[in-house]
Amino acid sequence: MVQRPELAALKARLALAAAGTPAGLLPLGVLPALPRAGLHEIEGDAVASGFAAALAGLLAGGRGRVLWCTPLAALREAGTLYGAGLAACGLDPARLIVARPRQTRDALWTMEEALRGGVFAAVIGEIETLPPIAARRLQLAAETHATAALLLLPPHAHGVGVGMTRWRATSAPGDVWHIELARCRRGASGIWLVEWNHATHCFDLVAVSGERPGAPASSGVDRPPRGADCRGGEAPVRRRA
Amino acid sequence: MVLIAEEAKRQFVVAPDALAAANGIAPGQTLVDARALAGDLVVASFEPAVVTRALDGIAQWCMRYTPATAPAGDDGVFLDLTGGALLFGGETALLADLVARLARQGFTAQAAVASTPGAAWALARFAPGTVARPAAERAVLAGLPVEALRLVPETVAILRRLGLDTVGALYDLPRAVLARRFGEELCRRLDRALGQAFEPISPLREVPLWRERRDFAETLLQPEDVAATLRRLIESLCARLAAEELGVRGLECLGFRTDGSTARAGIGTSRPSRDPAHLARLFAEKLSLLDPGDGMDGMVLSPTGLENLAPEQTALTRGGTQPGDLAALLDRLANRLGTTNVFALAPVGSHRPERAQRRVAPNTATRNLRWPDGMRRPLRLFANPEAIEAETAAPEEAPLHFTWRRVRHCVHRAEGPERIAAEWWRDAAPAARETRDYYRVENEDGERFWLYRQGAGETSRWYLHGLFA
Repeated sequence: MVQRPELAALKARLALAAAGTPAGLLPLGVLPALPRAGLHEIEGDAVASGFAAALAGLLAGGRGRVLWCTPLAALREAGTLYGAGLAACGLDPARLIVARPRQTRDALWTMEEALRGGVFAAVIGEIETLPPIAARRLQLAAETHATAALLLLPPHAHGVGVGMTRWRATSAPGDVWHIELARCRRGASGIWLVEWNHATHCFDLVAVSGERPGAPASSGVDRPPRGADCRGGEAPVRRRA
Repeated sequence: MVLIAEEAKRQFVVAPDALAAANGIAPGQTLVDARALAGDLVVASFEPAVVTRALDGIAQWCMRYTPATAPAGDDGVFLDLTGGALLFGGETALLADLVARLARQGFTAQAAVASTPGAAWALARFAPGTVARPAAERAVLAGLPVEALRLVPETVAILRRLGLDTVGALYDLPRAVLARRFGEELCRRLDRALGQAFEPISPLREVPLWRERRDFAETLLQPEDVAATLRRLIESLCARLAAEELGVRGLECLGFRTDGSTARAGIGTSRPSRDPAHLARLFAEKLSLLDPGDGMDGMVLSPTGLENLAPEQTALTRGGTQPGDLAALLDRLANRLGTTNVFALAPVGSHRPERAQRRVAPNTATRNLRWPDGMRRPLRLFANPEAIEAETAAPEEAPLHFTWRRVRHCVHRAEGPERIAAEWWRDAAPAARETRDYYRVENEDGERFWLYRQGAGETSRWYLHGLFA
């Protein structure tokens, strides 16, 4: 479980985040801040959807809109999005528009159109397989139109390595979300056990299971230098670790 | 070649082709007689449905000349040319163009122009090519045989027997006598032909007043040319709409191919628009439907819905093509994915979880609707609850194990039951009237499921209804 010094470090990081997060970054409390513009991959089970809903709710901030692109083909397999459950994860259904494309081609088109439209705070897409070129297009559209694209990938899907971050979100016993930041352009990665607090609309830390050795100092996580490695649009940036 | 039909176990010729007719074969002959005249006769059976379909196709194709076209009987098409013939260089030129184009498609056609459908019908059959001046119509019709009045064969036979061979022979007979002897139908037909009684044509589709039409001297072969023409049609239509402060809720484009087939594509908008860029962009997704094929020689664009649209409203719509306009984006999504596949969610006051939300149009105001609070509800719900096998320690308890999609899950934690009663006023089926006991269970890995037991005792069944995050 959690060691006290670790908790202290986290609290320090929280304080830093509260003091002010650079524009363009969404503070996530106990988790590293999320770039508002760009592609984020989230793989996992139902918790991945919940995590995406929570992120989208925070990105929308009660004002913005969210588009959720869920393929018709997966309707039987994965079930339909349920408003009351989305609300419980922090995504107000009144802010949400659902699109149901028939084919992956339509799904990618829908996501790109939505990103280019510049009317959404977040565009969530459930994609089975993502060709690298399509991923790069989405990343480009997300970056140029300052919108977050959240890609929901099935568990153990191969990453495309184009996005800003890659998360793994799975269930853990006791209503806990096991959140792993597997890849991040800024180099920080780690594993957190969190609970979504519906009342305060933030993640409550249950435990942190160790950051990777060699990761930069904690302040570097929340306040990255505004460099190419953070928001640059070049080819995949290797993890610094 | 002839088309035949069977009646009272005998086969009759319905329609001979030109070659068969030249050999003396006529409609009404028995097939045996016809074969005697031409031994190598090719026979095909007459399919009324096929003929109707072909005629509908021709009527639709004729929309290149006028929006009001209608199949007439089983061998003709009415075109309402009111005010439209000038665009084609006059009625005589239009007739020639029509017959020539149909001939290129392989149809032998006769056509005539008159001021009433009845007279046009008569002239097309018995004096093809005639363009009757209204003043001369009575005189022209007088010389035609009585068949020209669209009468049933029995009436024609009686008239012939009485020596009344031409339409003109009926002019001078007292109306009362005609009606008594031959029925009201004859008088009505006569009046309609002479324009003394009005005969409506019911066109295939509602006549759009706001049509835009282009004919091409050179047929279009490239999809890009079709797109460019469509763009010009849209711009021209929008300019007219602006003058009347109207906007469209949808557009339909017909493309006429040289082979006689018609290409069709339609779009819809979530609110009235006359923004050419926006409308053209919606069509961009549908251009494959307007494939020119071997060549396209005409296009027509017409609105499928018109609404008032004040100038200040267009200021908003114009933003539609720029980033930042939600409605314009939703139109594009709906046009590609289908209107039912772009929606928002709205809560419904129902206890049954599957009824507690519904899909609404994405621009519906749902802000003030309250979602049920305080109850634990799954993130994803299965529209059809999936039957599972569950083991319980006691009949009325939470399950210890369950098997879903062939995977066995061990229940580590369970919350419940939450009893949800049936809505007997909504459910007719007895099974749907049973009360459900819902449990929120967690397996060994922490995955969370929403299960329910339906029915009680030995006959109870278990279902999985949703997944929690």
